[in-house]
Amino acid sequence: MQMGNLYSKFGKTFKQGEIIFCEFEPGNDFYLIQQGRVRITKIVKDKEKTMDILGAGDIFGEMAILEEQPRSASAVAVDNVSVLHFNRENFVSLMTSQPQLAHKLLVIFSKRIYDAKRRLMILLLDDLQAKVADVFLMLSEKEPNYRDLRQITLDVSLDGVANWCGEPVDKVQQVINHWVKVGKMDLYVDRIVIHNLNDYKRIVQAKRKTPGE
Amino acid sequence: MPVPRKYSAGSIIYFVNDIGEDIFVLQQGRVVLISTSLDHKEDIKEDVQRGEFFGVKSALGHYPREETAQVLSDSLVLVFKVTEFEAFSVKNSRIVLQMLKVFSSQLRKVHKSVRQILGEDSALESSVELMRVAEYYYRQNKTDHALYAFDAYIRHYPDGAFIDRARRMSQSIKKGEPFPLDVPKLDEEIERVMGHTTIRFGDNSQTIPSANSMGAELEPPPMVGFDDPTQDNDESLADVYARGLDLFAQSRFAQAIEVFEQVLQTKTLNGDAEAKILEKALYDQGRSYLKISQNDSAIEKLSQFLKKYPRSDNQKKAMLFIALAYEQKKEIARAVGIYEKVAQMPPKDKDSIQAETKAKKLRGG
Repeated sequence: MQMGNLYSKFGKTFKQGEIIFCEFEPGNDFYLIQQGRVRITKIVKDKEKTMDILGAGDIFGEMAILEEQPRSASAVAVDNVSVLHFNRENFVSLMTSQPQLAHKLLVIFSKRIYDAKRRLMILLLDDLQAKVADVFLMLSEKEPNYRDLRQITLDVSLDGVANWCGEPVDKVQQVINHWVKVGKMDLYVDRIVIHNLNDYKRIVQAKRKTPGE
Repeated sequence: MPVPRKYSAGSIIYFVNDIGEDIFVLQQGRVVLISTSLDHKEDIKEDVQRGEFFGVKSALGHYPREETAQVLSDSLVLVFKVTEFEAFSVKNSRIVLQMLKVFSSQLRKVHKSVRQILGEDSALESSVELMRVAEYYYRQNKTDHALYAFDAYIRHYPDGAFIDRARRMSQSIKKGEPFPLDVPKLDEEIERVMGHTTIRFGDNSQTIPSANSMGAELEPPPMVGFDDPTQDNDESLADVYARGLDLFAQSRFAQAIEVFEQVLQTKTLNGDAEAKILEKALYDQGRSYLKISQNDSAIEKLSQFLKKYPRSDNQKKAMLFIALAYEQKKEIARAVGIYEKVAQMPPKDKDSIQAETKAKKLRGG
């Protein structure tokens, strides 16, 4: 199928400033930007935050092809935007006509699976200290030189850490306060400074025993 | 071209946690993938089928191998580099489609487990959060967004607990009225309906402890340092970049350049999304310089961009802008050279045609 043909079938335009979908709205469609930019935002603590700005060739809302889930963020047109929009029904015809797009999705899903599994690993730990420590490790692993890192500053708040752990803020706060007190880390409103990542690797390793040990 | 590689029985193709960018297809022999379950309680062994790809996700996603690939009997394996795999997948969309199906079912499973552990399966909670978002927009006077969100609530949850409230808000927006002050607070309504207050943001969930639960057993308040009160700590990197874009859109290029610089000075990055923002900021900073005819700076920034992000989708456009900068500098020969290059770069699009026309015109003059 030619691009023009695709557009007449699946094309849609949004005016500058128009909302494409809203956080928590159940959604079926996902989008490929043809022209213009789209701002991805979330409301965090009563403030709208920009998570990303996407341009031509980018995909968004792709989680909707898995199942109808509430959107995890809102999408708003920055300029006049034209998109192709798809859903599970017309997904196959898109993928066969746009193989680069299929490959792009493969890459996105690879990353998503890894991130989701990594988060699940934290949630499956049954010790709160180990969970908090593992959140620090997960966030540090994104650094390219992770294996040689000792000290690191993480752009995450106390609430953020509690979210990743799936535990109440006050409990996580107790754990972190203790580590601050014994000089293992510093806590600021918007970030955390870890003094020696190895301390936290040890905590997690002790709790995440490999089979047979 | 992918290369065939022989492995003898007992050898290892890769170990768990190895970093590697190769993707494999088993052609002959027997290979087993050994991994540990996510709770680390058991080992999992999986036989690779003949013709099956393995090592795909870690290579494409650039993360450590999740399993050890061990050869059980002498085997022949086809090895792809990521770029070769990309070329292959573009020509074999059926195979990619199958992989996508497998990947999406894996992703769905993991998400389901996460949601189960967090107890996040209730549609009631998402509907509440949708109301919260809608009212946020209304209070911020973003009435078109608010209207969209209230209407989404009405459409998806016609029997929802807040349907009357959503209808009323939607009506009052349509009448052009400000946020009504005579309605009870949404939190009170939620408390009444659900018996507790929950705040959910995206895939993260947390229950705000009530004042009572923050009891005496707690340690002293957290050590929170405000070492730089002038800085708006709430602004994410994407927010700063967005501010730059807004300035760019308003043709305030000098200010935009400063804001993009602020983005580019960021030292610690939070994952791929932020790295991507840096890429965009450099490109847009180059474009901004071009807009105010600071051609040397434009060339410098855009050349940096070309070098640093050879795989960026904006490569062609960046070259086009460099050519424009040379043209504005009256270095016509260089400009023509670059325009000609751009004109050759596939696919043949608007930019190619613009470059071709420019090259022709400049050569003629």
